[in-house]
Amino acid sequence: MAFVGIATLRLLDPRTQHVLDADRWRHATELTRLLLDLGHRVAWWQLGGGWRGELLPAVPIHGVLRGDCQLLTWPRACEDFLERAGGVDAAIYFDLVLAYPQVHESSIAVAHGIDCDDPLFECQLPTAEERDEWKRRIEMAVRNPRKVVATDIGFIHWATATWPGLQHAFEYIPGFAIPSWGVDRADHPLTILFPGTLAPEHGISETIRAMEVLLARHPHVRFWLTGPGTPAVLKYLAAWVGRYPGARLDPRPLTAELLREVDIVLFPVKSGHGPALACLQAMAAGKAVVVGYAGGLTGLVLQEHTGLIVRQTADDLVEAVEELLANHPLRESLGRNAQEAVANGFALEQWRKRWTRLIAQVFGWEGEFPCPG
Amino acid sequence: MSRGHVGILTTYHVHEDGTRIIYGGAERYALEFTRMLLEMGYDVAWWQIGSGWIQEVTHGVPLYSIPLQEAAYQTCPALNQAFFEQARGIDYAVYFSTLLAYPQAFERSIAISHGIYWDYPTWETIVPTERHRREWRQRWWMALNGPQRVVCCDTATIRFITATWPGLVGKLEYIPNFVDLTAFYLPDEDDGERDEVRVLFPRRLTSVRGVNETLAVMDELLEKFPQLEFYVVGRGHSDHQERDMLRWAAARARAYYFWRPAHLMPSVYRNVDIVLVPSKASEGTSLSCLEAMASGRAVIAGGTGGLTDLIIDGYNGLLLRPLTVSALRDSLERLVNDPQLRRSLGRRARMTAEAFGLERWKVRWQRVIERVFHRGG
Repeated sequence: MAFVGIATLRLLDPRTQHVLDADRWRHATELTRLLLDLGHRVAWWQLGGGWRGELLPAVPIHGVLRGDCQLLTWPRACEDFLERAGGVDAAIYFDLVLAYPQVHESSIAVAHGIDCDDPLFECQLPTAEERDEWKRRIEMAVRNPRKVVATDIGFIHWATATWPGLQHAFEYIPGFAIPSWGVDRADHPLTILFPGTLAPEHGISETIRAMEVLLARHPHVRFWLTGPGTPAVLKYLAAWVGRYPGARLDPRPLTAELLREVDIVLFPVKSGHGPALACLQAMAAGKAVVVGYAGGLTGLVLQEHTGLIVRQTADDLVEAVEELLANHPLRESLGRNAQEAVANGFALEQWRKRWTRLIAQVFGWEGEFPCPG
Repeated sequence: MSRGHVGILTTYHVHEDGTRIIYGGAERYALEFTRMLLEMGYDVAWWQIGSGWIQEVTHGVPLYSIPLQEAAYQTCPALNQAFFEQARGIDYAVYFSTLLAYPQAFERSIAISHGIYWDYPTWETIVPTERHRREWRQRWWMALNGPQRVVCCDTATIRFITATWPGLVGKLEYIPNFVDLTAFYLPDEDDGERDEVRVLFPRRLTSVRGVNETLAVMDELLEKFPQLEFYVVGRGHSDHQERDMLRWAAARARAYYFWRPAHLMPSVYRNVDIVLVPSKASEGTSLSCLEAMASGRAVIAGGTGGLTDLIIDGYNGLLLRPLTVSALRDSLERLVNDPQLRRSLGRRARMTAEAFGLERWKVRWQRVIERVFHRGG
């Protein structure tokens, strides 16, 4: 049995210890379950002021890494992890940036997506010198571990085109879904769902503008917003939905039950990390998904075969949704193909096999592939 | 009545001395693009590098050549300027490669990106120092800023551009490449009923297309599986390369090397079981990959560039990232041993290819052209 230490910036809010992102939490939980099933011991370390939490029974989260950030990197947290997790046999850097400037000798890092494609990135690092230095640090973080797992193929495209020669640094292991979420369809009015974070980078502004047009043209259509948001955004959207009889704001987790009641799911992500697991879950449920160019979702969707890939503008969203509203066979075939694609390409079991193979290859641990728990 | 004059600038549609037609993927794209514009009612003319001769791209579509060869940092500012001067009468412009829009672009214009080509290690021999790379990036940024819209054949390019210059996101449009579904189709069920398993490598004989890994794998597997046949159908960049390939094939039982013009490729695909597209870099939404998919073949592809827009590993093909000899060998063995898997991947590949048919490609392009040329973007 080996002891695996996993470093992350945040699974839980460093101050309140609440779960910050449902997708990340699920990803972390499944990775931990896999390591436990393989017979290893696991502990997590993250930013925090000295508290201790739990991811799963007997899997601690140590909130002890220093949170001071320099040029969007966390060299002190990296140092803290190496010092405090000195006894681990292998390390996983669940956030690539923590693999800078040094890593455990037996380590894998995980890149969840592209961080520099948001226009506000230039506010955070306003000079060319700062951006160059940030890029140098990311290159070090990519080169340090034995392998970098990218969950977003776009990250590999960007990195290999930025630093040619890194072809072998990466392993692509996309997200996963539980195919059994593909359940019977309930009878209901046509319903459009926006399950992403209610934030500009997830395309909420364009979605609202598009839905104003669509709800006026199609008064029978329902529109639900279910993602988390800041109090100010939630207040604004609560007032907004009040103006449209078919609109509803209901921040609740994405579940099979919720998906059963909808027909079209929107993920018009504009930058940063996209809700890949939520998108795959919607596909597994046989829904027609509409995704933007960013956030790693184009690696999950085949254009006009398993979903629609659109520019993240209100006009393009209106056009795509109207096509889906008008074309029932298209909606059905996209959903059907998406279900089949998830079952054959993104099932949780395949994800576990891919990780198991990689762990054996990088850490040199043999072992049978365990069945999902 | 004409809807307007469209001028298209490319580097080479015909060899610069005007004597030999180049017939690769870009040239096929150019031909279909021209036909589509004609169908839409536009007058079309092309410009490229050459010694001043005039030819035709297709009947009634002139191809003018401009006697300039400058190509510093992969850009051709003098060609760009000459086009700007010579094509003054046009209403709309298309830059067939994004860098051709540097340093100036027509007011109503579109540039096309055919994919990332700077992700291969030898790229650094072209722009060898950081100063060179900065200058290249600066020129490319200017080129991307000029036209009203940049059409990318894959999302890899879009992700790279937006991660490098986040403000350019509004310019970009994804239109994947196409396949002619009437020429490339799934053969009758009984066509695939044979004892041998035929593997096809339908690419150029270049390292970036994974020819070396492929030959290393086939060397082993031809020995191991007596039912295996291996076909290499693609040109080299030189007679020397093609001679070497002929020798390699001649020295092995059940290995064959030849090439076919594009219009004869459908029957080649229909007569094989597995198609290898093991690109390591410099790849868009590959026409070869789409043609293999449309023919209902099981494809093994490299996880690079636009191939990831076509294939989902385990669903409609196998995607290798990173592309190594061992990964390629394992995948090929898996397919050789599992006819059921070959059939299911091939069936889903065909279904996928239907979303990438030529007619849909035209609809996607027509939408963009209407927006840019007639609605100001």
